[in-house]
Parts: sequence; structure tokens; C-alpha cells
Amino acid sequence: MSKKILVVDDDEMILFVIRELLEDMGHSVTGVSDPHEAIQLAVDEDYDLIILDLRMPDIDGAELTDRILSRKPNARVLINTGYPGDPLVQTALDRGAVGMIRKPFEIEKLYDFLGKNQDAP
Amino acid sequence: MPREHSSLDQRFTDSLEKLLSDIDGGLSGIGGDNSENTERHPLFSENSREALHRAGIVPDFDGRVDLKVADDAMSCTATFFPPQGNGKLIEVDDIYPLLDAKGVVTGVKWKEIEEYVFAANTDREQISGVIVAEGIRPHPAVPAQLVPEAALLDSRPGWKDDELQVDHRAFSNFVLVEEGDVLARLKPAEVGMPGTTVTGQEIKPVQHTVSNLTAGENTRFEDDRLVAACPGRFVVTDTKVFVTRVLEVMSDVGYETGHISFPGDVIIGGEVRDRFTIECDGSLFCNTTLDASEVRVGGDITVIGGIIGRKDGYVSAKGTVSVKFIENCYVEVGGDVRVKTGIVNSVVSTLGSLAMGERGTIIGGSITAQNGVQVTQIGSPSGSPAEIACGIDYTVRDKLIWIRDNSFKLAKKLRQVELQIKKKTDPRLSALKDRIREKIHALNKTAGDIVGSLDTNEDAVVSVSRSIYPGNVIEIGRATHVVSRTRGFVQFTLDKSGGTIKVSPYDPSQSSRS
Repeated sequence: MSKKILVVDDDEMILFVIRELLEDMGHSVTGVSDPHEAIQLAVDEDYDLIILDLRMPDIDGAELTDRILSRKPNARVLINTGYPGDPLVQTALDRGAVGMIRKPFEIEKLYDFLGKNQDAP
Repeated sequence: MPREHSSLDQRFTDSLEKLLSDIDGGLSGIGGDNSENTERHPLFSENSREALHRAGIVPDFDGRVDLKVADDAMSCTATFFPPQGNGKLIEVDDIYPLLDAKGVVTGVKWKEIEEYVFAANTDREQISGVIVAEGIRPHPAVPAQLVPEAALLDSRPGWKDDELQVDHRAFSNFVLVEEGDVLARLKPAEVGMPGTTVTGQEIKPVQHTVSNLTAGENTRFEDDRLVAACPGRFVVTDTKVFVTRVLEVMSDVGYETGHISFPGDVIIGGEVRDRFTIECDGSLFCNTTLDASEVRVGGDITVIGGIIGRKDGYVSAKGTVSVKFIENCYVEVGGDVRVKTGIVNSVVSTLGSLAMGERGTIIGGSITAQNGVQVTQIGSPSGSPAEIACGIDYTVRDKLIWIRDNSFKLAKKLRQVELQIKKKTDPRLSALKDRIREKIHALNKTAGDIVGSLDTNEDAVVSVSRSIYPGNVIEIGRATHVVSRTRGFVQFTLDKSGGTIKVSPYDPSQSSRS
């Protein structure tokens, strides 16, 4: 079943490759690099999964998780990080993120968080 | 008849009065006059008899025998009640009808019965629960079987159990034999014999199953003994006993020996020098330290010292790995991993579990153990943190990483091609772009095909019997936990309903060490 996914990362290459993978899985993907735009999109639209970069210039992923979930409590936020031991990861998890993947991304976890048996739309 | 007493004192009178009163009370409770059946009546208990004795009155009771056949009818027990007073003596002939009544037809121990009867009659003591008839148990049929020599099975090396709390002998089987050494003995078949119950029922013999060990390579029979046909390593599997040829390098592996490549087992007596490779189809046993550049082993690896993988050291074993320590090395293992003291800045991946010794510490690096980790300490106050992942098949994960990395490389190329296309029109660039996209799609499809075989073990446990420090990462399946404060005596499990990692007090019963 096709799902709607928002990917937030200031690295355009990561945005591009994740989008390719997820679209090949049959999902609809929006990619943005501006966290403020991401908050607006997350509030305005209904995404099945929001993948957030943990370290971004203006606002970190834990804070972003907090801001999104405070306005959209049912959103599912997944943290993407190059440093799994970063204390911000646990902060984001404590604030309600559903999990963490390693940068650039972990295919198996993306499948897992989207449901293993993906059907093409 | 009660014996006459010359004088009746007050104590006697009182006790007799009480007894008579008790009997009256009992009789009124059951109604009727049962004076003729007092011998069998429950109210006429041993207490009453004692009271009668105290009163100097000994009633007449005939001797008798009670029989009881066991539930499985394999025995019949008897209780002999001796005669009292002028009661009738027990006679052996009295027992025939009792046995008949119970259906006992075979296995009667008449000699013993005569002795019990005599003893009961003469000693006037009750004899309880003695076996007076016994059935014959069936003898199981046992097929011929090859039985390995116990001395060889017990002589496998390893650390002492109390040093590591792990029986290394269980997976460190390196026993060397000489040509002609006895490996196993052929135990002949045993014919089954039926049994009989005391009531005459036949019991068919049980057919025992035994291990189907057969003689394997490099062995031969000498009469009923299986012996080694050449010097080598004694091996017992579930199906066969055999000897593998062994290459013994008692010096260091270095310029004198060159790289080692051998189809059987390899024993290294000295050290393996940096930059020298070992490849063997069997198992590797190393007496000292393994300075690993590249070691690929088809069986188990046992290293009495540690594995040191300077620079890009790589060690793989399809079986188990048992070592003292691992430093700066990539280690891939098909079976379980046992490490006595420490794993430092290494990448260790196993399809089994990782169990470490009492001082076992993981510092830095990453561990992937499908079936869990048992460790004393993870990290240190000043050391680099480690990443511990459980519940996943690292071979599938590595394929997915390969796909991801190549997708990434292709994506970068695609971007470059797209920039070129913006600058100039060239049909070859468009064709190249299509080819790259096609390849990315093919990789993504392959990822989708194999991701289902990641084979997660949601029951994997990470047990820490002493301390875990901040910054260390625990992952079980897709769930992640970053340790934010020093904790002690904890274990990490997957909360399946919430998809999160649960931290609870250390439970030794769930440890891979026990």
C-alpha cells in the first residue's frame, strides 16, 4: 500500500537517494531541506512517516520532533543520524520519535517502519 | 482370654473405665453390637490395643496377611499382621487363595514368604510392605552402535569453567590422535526380551534408538574397534566419527612458512605475523596470539591468546570462535563467539551469540549478534562508546549496506550526468542517465527481495552483569536505545508491543553465559 512520506535533510544527495528508494517501494515522497518548511508541511499534511535529520543548522532533530509532535501528536517521526551514540538520539526517542536509522539510511529499517510487505500502488 | 492379674489398682481401673467408655461411645456412633467383628473394626485401633495391653488384657487376634498389587502389576507387596493372644498363626497355605484373589500367578517369592510368615508368628511384630511377588521387566532391544572413546571426548582443551563461566570444551574440540589410536568401539546389538507382570501379562520389549554414528574418513575397523588410519584430529559429529588431516606449524607463521592454505585443520604453535594469511577448510587452533591480516576458516577458531588485527585485519569462521581477546579486527562468525577478557575497537558479527568472561568488556567498535550478548561491561568512563545490535542476520544487513552504498554512488553519478545534460545536449548522456536510473531501480528491487530474510530474533537479550556507560547504543531489531547515564546490572530486551527497548534488572537465567 502506497504511503506518504516526508524526508527532511540538509544533504540533497541523501534526500535524492532516499526518495529513489522509497518511490521504488511504491511510496509518495516529499523531500525538504528547511526544517521550518518541514514543520509546516508536517502540520498541514498527513504523512505516514516523517524522516528527520538529527543535526541540521537551525534546529536539531530532537527539537523538531518535539515541535511536530506537539502540534501533530499522531505523527510518526524517524530520526536519521550519522552518530547513533549522540545523546540527542535518546532525547528524540524520549520525545516520541519511533526509532533511529543510521545515515545515509538503513534500508531494512525503512522497510520495517513502513511495514515489511510493501505492495506497489 | 485375658490374663488374670493378681491385683487391680486404681490406675488400671481408671484406664479400663475410660476404654470401655470410649468403646461404648464408638459403638453407639455406628450402631449395633459388633463385638464379634472388633478385630476388623476401625474403632478397634492400635491405641485401643495399647490400652488393653496397658490394662494387662491381650485379646485374641488371628494372624493375617494383606496383599497389594502395584499399579503397573510388576510387583505384589504384603503386610504380615502377627497373631495376638491365642489367635491363629499365619500359615503359608493361607497365602495361596490371597494370591489367587489378586490374580498373582507368577514371580511369587515362596522362600521369602516362608521367612516372613515364620518371623511374624515368632517375633509377633508386624512386617509391612515387603515384596512377595515380582514381575520380569522386559529387556530392550538395542541395535549395534559405534560408541566413541570416552577418554577422547573428555580430553578436549579449553579454559577452566570457573575462569569464564563457559564450558569451552563444548565448542573447542581439538584432540589429536596418532595412526592406530582407538577412536570408537562397536557395541553389538542386544536382543529384546519380553517381560511378564505378576498377573501373567506379557510386556513387549522396547526398541531403543541409538545414535547412528558411522565410520568416517581416515578411519578403519580392527575387529570391533574403529581406529585412526592416519595421524590427525579426532572429530565426532551427530552422524560420524572421523579424523581430519592436520597441518601443524609449530613455529611462527612468517617468512619461513609463507601463507598457509590447507584443506584440513591447522594448528599454529607460534605467532602469526602481520601480513600473513591463513586459509583452511577445517578448524584453526592457535597456541599464542593471532596477528590477523586475513584468516578464513571453514570450521572453528580457538586462540589461546587473542586476535590482533592491525590495520585491516579480517577473520572469518563458519563455526565458532573462542579467544582471549579481540583488538582492532573485523571478525565474522557463523556460530557462537566466546571472548574471555575484552573486545576493543573491533567489528564483530555473529549469527549466534556473544558471551564474554567475568572481566569481559567491550570498548568501542560494533557488535552484531543475532542471538544476544552477555557481557560484564560495555564502555568505560573515558573510552569510546560501542554499538551493540542484536536480533538481525548480519549477512543480509551487509548486503543491504552494499546495495545502499552502490545506490549512493550511482546517485552521485546521476547528479553529475544531469548537470552535464543541462550544459549540453548529447544523446549519449541521456542514455547514460537512463542506464544509471535503471541500475538504481534494480538495486532497490533486490533490496526489497532480500529484506524479508533479515530474520530477526526478537527474543535476543543484551545482558550487562556490571556496568554500561553513557553513549553506548543498544539495538534490538529496529528498536534503539542510547545509554544516557551509567547503569549497572541491567539487561536490554525488546518490548514487542511498543517497539522500544526495555531496560530491566540483570537476570542471569536469561544470559547466554549460563
